[in-house]
Amino acid sequence: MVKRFSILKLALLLLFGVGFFLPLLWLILTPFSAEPTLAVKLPSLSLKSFAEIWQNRTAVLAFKNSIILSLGAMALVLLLGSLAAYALSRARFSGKDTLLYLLLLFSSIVTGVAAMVPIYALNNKLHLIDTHLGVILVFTAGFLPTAVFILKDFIDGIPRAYEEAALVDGSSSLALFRYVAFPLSRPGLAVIAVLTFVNTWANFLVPFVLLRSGEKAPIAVAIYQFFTEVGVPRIGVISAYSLLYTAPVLIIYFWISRRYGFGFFGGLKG
Amino acid sequence: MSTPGLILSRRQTLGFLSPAFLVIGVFLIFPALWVLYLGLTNLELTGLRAVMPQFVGLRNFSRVFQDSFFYNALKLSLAFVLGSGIIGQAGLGLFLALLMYRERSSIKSFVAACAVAAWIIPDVVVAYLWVAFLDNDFGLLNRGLALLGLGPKNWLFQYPLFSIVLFNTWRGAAFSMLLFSAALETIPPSFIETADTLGASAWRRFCDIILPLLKTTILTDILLITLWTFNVFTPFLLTAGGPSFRSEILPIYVYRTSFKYFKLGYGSAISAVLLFINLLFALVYLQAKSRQKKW
Amino acid sequence: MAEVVLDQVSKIFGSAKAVDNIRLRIADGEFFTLLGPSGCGKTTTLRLVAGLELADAGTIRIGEREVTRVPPAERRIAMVFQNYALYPHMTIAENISYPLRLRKVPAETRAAKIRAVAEKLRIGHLLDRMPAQISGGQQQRVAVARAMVQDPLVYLFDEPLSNLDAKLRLEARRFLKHLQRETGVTAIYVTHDQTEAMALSDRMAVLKDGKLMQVAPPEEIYRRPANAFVAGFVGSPPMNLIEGKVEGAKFVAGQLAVDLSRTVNLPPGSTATLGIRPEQIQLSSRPSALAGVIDDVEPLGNEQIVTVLVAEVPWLVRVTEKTAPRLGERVSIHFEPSALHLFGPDGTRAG
Repeated sequence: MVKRFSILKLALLLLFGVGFFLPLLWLILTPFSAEPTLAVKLPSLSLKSFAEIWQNRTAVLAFKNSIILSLGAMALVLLLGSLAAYALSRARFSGKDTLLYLLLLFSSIVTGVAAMVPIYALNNKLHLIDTHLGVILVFTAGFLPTAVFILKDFIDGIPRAYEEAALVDGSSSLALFRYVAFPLSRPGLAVIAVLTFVNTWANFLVPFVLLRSGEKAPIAVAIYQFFTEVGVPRIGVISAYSLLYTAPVLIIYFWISRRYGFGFFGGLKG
Repeated sequence: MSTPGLILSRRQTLGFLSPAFLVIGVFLIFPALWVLYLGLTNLELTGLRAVMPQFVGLRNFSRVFQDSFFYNALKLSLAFVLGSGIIGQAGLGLFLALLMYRERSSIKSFVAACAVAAWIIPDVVVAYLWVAFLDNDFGLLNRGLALLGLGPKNWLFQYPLFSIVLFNTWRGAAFSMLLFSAALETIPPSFIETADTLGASAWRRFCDIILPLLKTTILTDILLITLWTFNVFTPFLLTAGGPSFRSEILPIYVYRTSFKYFKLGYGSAISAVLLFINLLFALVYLQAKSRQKKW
Repeated sequence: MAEVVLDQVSKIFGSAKAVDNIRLRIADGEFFTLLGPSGCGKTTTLRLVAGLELADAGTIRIGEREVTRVPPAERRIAMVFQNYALYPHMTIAENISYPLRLRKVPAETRAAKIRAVAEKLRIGHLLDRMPAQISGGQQQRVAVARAMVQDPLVYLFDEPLSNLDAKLRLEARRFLKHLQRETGVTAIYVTHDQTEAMALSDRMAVLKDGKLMQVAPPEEIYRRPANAFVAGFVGSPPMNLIEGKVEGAKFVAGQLAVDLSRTVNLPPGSTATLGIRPEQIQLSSRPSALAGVIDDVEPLGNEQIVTVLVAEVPWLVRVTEKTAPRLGERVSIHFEPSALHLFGPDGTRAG
């Protein structure tokens, strides 16, 4: 009786495994197919779709834009986030934790299209529409609460003794931060850098709303344009480009989970 | 330079905090509050009302509550959250976690890997994967159904709501699955083994032992999933809310009003309502979490 | 009320044999203990009897029935785990009645049974509380109550006293033994604590690396250990075990030479281990061949454990005299030759 139940369980699991796997199959096969279509068939192999990407101006440009946006947000989040996290960790004032939790609360409530409406209006007023800077600032504001929360945790773990020794030696607080706290929190910074990059790399909504010209668009928007443009969709390019776009995300997420376990980004992906 | 006993003086603290808080304040907090004001104007993106928006009081808000499109979107969103959020992601996630509990086979790793991949692949890509999967002529779903002797269906066109429910369930189940798997691991094996020696069937084991012990996790999961599913925009990439608004969940409705028709004032009113609903969800979540400590 | 028979039972985890070809016959109504260090296979053996593990070889019988492939619920066993496994969301009464509710026993019968068992275990006043609200000792009795209520053929205990502090443990120990005597149900008990095993068992099995080292009543295990391992494992303070060689009628280890005064079934020159219990050695100031110096004294109130270095070999001696020996004192050790144990090259008893 025990055996029968296990077989049933495994069969069900297998069924769901297949169910989860099937939509992914297209992404695995089509980029390497000589005749890419919406269908999934065993391909006669060819790398021509990848070659086409290089020839596509939008695709190449979009890649550059994605790098700019993600690196920009990453740099800004690291700088502002580490400063704020350091202050919140070392300063003494009541309501520190409440402040942080309120910020986190805010960033989880102010999400989605509903948030984009006033943000759009604001950026419009600030003449930041259709600028990379506008997108970077919105990315930063959205992710900073989480980043500060995580970084503060890291910095809390660094013994104050280092800074106190430096203080005795006459260091200024900015120098403290720059030469003591910042270098020592490197593992935390690495995590935040990666998380910010991945989150912004995959983000579609913010650039979709805030950017107008095709030349400023990052990969996410470019792909969307590819499959909604008039005419026959260039399936080969779409599939190959999507695969290239997805690969770094998959690699990074699996690398993080290997080091820190899956539970780590449960709360962050929302 | 700094006060004895403190690493950072008050001024320095403020200095360190200000850049981050400036950005957060301007681009996160201010818009959240400003939306309430904007909802009271007739701001639009083009034309006279872009340059000279006027204050129209609560007119936008009352219009929202009389707008049949709003109620359509609300209804669809509720169905969407129930179907793809609660039953779909939370329910399926729990079911998968139970199936995988105490399993060590490669099948389990395969399922987990695929589910997680579905969750972390960027929005636009999964959307297109499903456009391909659901395609009437070539899509794998129809091809698979044909093997079972069932006719092909034009999913996105004939069953748009069902399609996005299915899509979003597939997309998000991994989170619940991981959360519940972790929670199941915290149950001491002796609890289950005692049940085995007492003769509890799998169903009884689930009802009498696992479910009560998992109650708080289930609650927090449902609240988080509800919040996220309520705001998710990705179905837009699949159906753009159509055909004929049959899959226009609230986020898509907001998008159409604000960014297709550029009625920012009216759109802000709807956004304010949505953000307020989000706030309610978040507060309930916090309440539940604080009550969790009691047990 | 049944005997339990394990016939050539083995269980393999990965490449390790957790239980290696074990044959045991546990009599009906016996309190039988499985004793050994961690990793010896005692818990695995218990779980095999419970049905929580499936044997890779051999058969298991409970009473008249062969249960090797029968699921736990149908074996009519009741198990008490080390952490008691009381369900935190159920009251004590609900915890105890759970097995009855699963079997759809009618409410009145249930209530009567619970009352009877609770009274016997003196937890009747706790029935409406939650597990978190009662003490460890009380939780343990609730776990036992839940086992009793099932009217099993065999009780299985997996180190049920390990989580209690020392004083409670003694009380609980006596309570368990008394209970088992009264109910007359076969009990199989796993522990790593040899004092516990000695105190509780009618018979016990000492295990090492998945194999049975000796199966016998406690007295016999203590007085005539079958091999060096059992000799050293059972008894506190542990038996003195000295490795050396047999030459003629003497045991030799370095400078040490002990007269065995009896015939030994070992070829001359074999390696052997000599054993003698600390309480069977006397100290005196009379000179003798075995003379040495006191190296350590552990005063334990009613007795002292004295370490004497004789021929560079430390001997533990239990001393109960009023006058405490002093460090550095020169003494000689004396014992009856019949108190000596001798174990051959493979560890088994040789004389």
